[in-house]
Formats: sequence, structure tokens, C-alpha cells
Amino acid sequence: MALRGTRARLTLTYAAVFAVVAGAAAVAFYLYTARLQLGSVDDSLTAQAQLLGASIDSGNGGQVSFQGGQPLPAESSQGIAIAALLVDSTGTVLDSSGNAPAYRAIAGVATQARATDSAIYQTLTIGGVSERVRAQRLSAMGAGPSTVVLVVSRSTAEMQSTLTTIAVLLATTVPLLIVVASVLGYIVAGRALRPVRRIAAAARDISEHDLNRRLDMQLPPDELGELGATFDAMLARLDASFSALRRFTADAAHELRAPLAVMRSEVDVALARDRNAADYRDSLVSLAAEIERLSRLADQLLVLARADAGALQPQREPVDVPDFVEDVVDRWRTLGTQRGLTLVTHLADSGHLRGDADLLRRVLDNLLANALEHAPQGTAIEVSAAPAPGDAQWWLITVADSGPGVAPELRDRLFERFARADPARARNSGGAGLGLALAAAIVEAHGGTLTLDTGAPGARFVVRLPA
Amino acid sequence: MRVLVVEDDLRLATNLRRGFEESGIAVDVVDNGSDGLQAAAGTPFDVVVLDGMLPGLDGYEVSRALRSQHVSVPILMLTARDSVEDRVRGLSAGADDYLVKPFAFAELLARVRALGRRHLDNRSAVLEHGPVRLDTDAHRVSVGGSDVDLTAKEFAILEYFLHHPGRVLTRTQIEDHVWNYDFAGESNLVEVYIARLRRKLAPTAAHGMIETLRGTGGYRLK
Repeated sequence: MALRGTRARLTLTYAAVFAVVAGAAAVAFYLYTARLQLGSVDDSLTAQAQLLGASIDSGNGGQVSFQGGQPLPAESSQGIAIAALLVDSTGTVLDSSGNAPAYRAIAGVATQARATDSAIYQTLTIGGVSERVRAQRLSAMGAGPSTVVLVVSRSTAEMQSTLTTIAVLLATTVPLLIVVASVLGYIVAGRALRPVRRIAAAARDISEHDLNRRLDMQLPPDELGELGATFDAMLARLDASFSALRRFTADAAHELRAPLAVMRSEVDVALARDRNAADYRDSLVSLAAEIERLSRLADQLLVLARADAGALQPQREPVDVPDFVEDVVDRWRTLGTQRGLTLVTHLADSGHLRGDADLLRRVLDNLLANALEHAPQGTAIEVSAAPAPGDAQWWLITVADSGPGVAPELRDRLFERFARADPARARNSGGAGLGLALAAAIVEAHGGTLTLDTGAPGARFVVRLPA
Repeated sequence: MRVLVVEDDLRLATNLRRGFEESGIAVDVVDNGSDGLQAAAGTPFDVVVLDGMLPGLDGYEVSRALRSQHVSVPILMLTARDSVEDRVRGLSAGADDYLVKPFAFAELLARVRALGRRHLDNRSAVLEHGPVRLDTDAHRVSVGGSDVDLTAKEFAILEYFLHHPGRVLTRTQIEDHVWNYDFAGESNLVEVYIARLRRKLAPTAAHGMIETLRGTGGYRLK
């Protein structure tokens, strides 16, 4: 609908501009033609006047006559009817052609001409007919006294009729041209807008379920081609983010339903018949483990959702970094010992950063839990905390194990939600693959970064936090 | 009845195994797609319960592979995804039925039993033969109106006989349908259980209904 409007608007604008230009051109053409016509009438009058002037004698005693008293001719040598008369300063007609107007009709022109050497031209209506009149005193033509004026005149009817024909022609063809141009303009606008129409139709057809489609318009690289390409690029970005969202939703649904399925089956099977107390206790223990798993997941999803909404606002309180790290590591020592692992710390003597100790504890807990899970028995997990070398504005906290490290194919999506090296293994060991995503979100909320040091032999995570 | 459960979540698999076994259904559990494919293609299971999301080959791929190998065992898919697309994907991969997690175990059991009956002439949950009446859903057996208390295995053997009245069933057939892999090779297991079943039926009108066919190594329900 809007396109139809655009097409009509384009056509209207085009037609209006064309009409103004064509109208102006027509008027200019008409005026120019009228001027040329008048010029040619004047030229014929001048030629006749000069021809006549050459044959005027001014005899002795001021006697002025045409060829010794002949009447002036009524037409030019080309046969054009041109009246002529000679008048003196008293208004006496000395000589005239048969078709000459009466003196009073041209008295004004004659009087003006008597005062100057130049020829005077005027268009007068004489006896109901439009006449072009030329008057000049004989002395200016070198033919006699300055008191006598030669007046020649010619009807403009022929010129008028030519001009009328031209005007009629212009008045009919110009509107016709405007109509034709508008139709052509409408067609051209339609053609020009066709790609827009195709883009609009394709965009309308593409729903959220087939964002993998592209317009692929194969347009020339002009503005519309660019529009098509831009649209495709936007679709690609939409597709990527929709896919990510869909994957996240599906993963989240799976991770939430899996423990629920375990709990439901545990309860259903336990209730299917009467059992002894030990069996019930086993079921409850298993349920407690699943509840724990679900709670952890719900908690992680909540923190991530807050981070997404930009609502994860860490407290900015002074944290004594060496104390804090030592304290967190201490809590893991017992579990480490049980698994035959040593936890070693390399900490700066003192120093503070401004941050949220509760949130930062979760970061370290996640990194330590990962390290404890992957480190081979009998090895050490090394934790360090020190100001960044050469830049005391930043703290570097690292957790390194000597396990197998992160597989290259997993590195790119290591910090993505639900990223797991092996879906099945992780599911049975309890992690949903949110830990690192969560840790990264918390560090980023502090204005820092969490990275994997790919140069290290095992897995070495580096937390960079502003002091 | 013998069911294969392909499920990588050990806790869920354990609960399913326990639930099925207590309902007299023999269960084999594998925790990945390729083992599931191998087991389902090589053993005559009555039903395969297949998780959609598995490491390696996923459930959809296993189902498709089984169908392309012309294995027609009924497949029930378990899925954590309930979008129409996911369900269609499961069914078009050759699954016969699906359940969305979390599900009621009773519903899984009823669906597995219904799928197990699909290839039989008698599809009702209650099997009757002469004075014997066996209700698979309620897990009850009565002869001439009075209940007989059977263990899960005895029940399963009787159910198998009732599905094939008058037909010769070999020891191997019975073993394949009533026991899982854990018992494979214990050759006199079938004899032992049939002896127990006969002993429980002896005082009733069903006395002597299961006969041993000398020479064929098989049994028949008269």
C-alpha cells in the first residue's frame, strides 16, 4: 500500500516538474516566435521604406515627390501589401498609396518620428485592423527635408494567424506530452520500485521459522542492490541471534526437565508399592540430590538473566585480594585432599580491589570446581593473585590445573551457556555447562575479563579485574 | 516382555530399570546411541525406549538407522523438548510414540505395554485363556475367579504364553522375551521358573496347562 503511494507520489512529482518545465518552454518558444515574426514584419517595413526613400525627390522650393509626382506603391516588390504615405509637419499628406490610412490614424507616430532620426515602430489598430506602422523622417534616410516623414504600414493579421496556430499547437501538444510523460513516469517508477516490492514481499514471507532464507535478489550494485544486501545481512544477524536464543531455550528446557524427569520417576517408582524404610530413605536422598541440582541451575539461570538485563550490579566494596583468595581456596582444600590434589597459592602480600565479594567468590568457586574435576590425581592446582605487571590498576587472578586442558574445538564456545565438552559425561557429573558463562558474566559486570590462557599446558583461566 | 532402555542419564535409567523390573518387564539399559542401535538390531526386544538426546548418535539417528535396517521394533522416544517440530522430528524418524520429560512412570509403563501389544492379535490389556485371566495393567492373575500370587518373572512368562496360546515356544524365545542380558547363558533358568509357575498353578483349574514338548526343547500353552 505504502509502495503504491510512493509510486503515485513519484509520478505526480515527476509530472508536476515536467509540466512546469514544458509549460515554461512552450511560453518561451511562443514569445520568441512572436518576436521573430514581428522582427520580420519590421524588416519588411524597413526594406520598403528604404526602397521608397531612394526614389523620393525633393525638388527646388521644398517640393517633395515620389518619382516626380507618382503615387506611392501599395505593395512591396515581393507582393506584400504595404501602405505608404508622406506627410509634412503641418499634417498635409504629400503623397500616399491607394491603401494608405488616414493621417489622423498615424499622426502620433509621425509626430514622434519628426523629433528623431531613428525609425519609430508602433502597432496600431486602424479601422478595426491591427497594423504595424513604421515612421522615419526623410532627412534620416538622406532623401529630403527633416519636416517630411515617410510612414509605411503593414497588416499584422498574417503574423497573428501564424502565432495563433503555434499557440493552439502548443496548447494541445504540451498537455498531451505531460500525460504521456506521466504514464511513462508511472511505468518507470514501477520498474524502479519493483525490487523494493520484491524485498517487501520476501520480508513478509520470512517468518521467525525460516530466518535461514535470504532474498538473494541478484540486483545491480546500486542503492536498491545495497538495500537487498543490507536486508540479507540483517537476516543473517537475526538468524544467528534467533538460533542462539532457540538453542539456549532448548538447552535450558532440557536441563530443567532432566532433573524433573529423574525426580518424577524416582517418586513414581517408589510409590508403586510398599517399601521398607531404607528404600524410602534412598529415594529421598536421591531426590535431595536432584533438588540440589535444580536449585543450582535455577540460581545460575537467575544470575545470568540478571546479567542479560543489565541488572547485575556488583557491590563496590573494598576486598582484600590475598585474604579473599586464600579464604576461597581454603574451602576447597578438604575436597582437593580427598581427590589427591594439592592447592597451591601464590599471592601478593597485600592489596585491595573494589568489588562484590559474594559474586567474585562464585567466580573462583566455579574455576576451582572445574580444576578439581579435571586435574589428574597427585598433581597441584595453582592459584595466583597479583597486580598486573606494569599496570597496578588491574589485578590478575589465575587458576591453573595440569589436566588435559580445553579441547581446541570447545575453546571458541567455552564461555557460552550450556557449552560442554561431552553432553553425557557432564550431565552425570552434575554440571549443566553454565558455570563458566556465569563466571564470565560476573567478571564482566565488574568491568573485567575472564579468559583461557591457551599457552598453558593444562587449563589456565585468567581473571582480570580493575583494582 | 523385554524392553531396551537407551538413556544416558544414569539416575533416570536406574529408576526406569527398577520400575520396569518391578512390573515384570525385563530391561536392558545402554547409555549411548551406538550401543542402543547394536542392541536393538541384534535382540528381539518388544519395545525400545529411546532418549532423544544422546551422546554420539542421538535418538533420532538411532531410530532412523533401525528403520533403514528394517528393524520394526516399536520405539518410544523420550524427549525434553515439546515443540511441535521436535515431536514431528521424532515421529518422522520412525518412532511410534513419544513422551515429554518429565513424565509419569505409570504413563510410560502403559504406553510401553500398548506398544508391546501392537504386533499381537489380542491387543487388550487383559488376556484370557480358559479359566486363566491375566490383567497386564493391574498386574493380576486369577484362575477361575480366584487370585494367584505370581512373582514378576512368573507373571512375565505366563503373559508370554497367553500371547501365543497353542504355539510352541522354545527356551531361547522365552529367555529372550522375559530376561535381559544379565541372565543370558544361565541355561536352566527357564526350566526353573516354569517349574515354579506350574507349582503355583497346580492347585487351580489351570493345572497342567503348560506342557513340555519332548524333543523340541519347547513348551506350549494348551
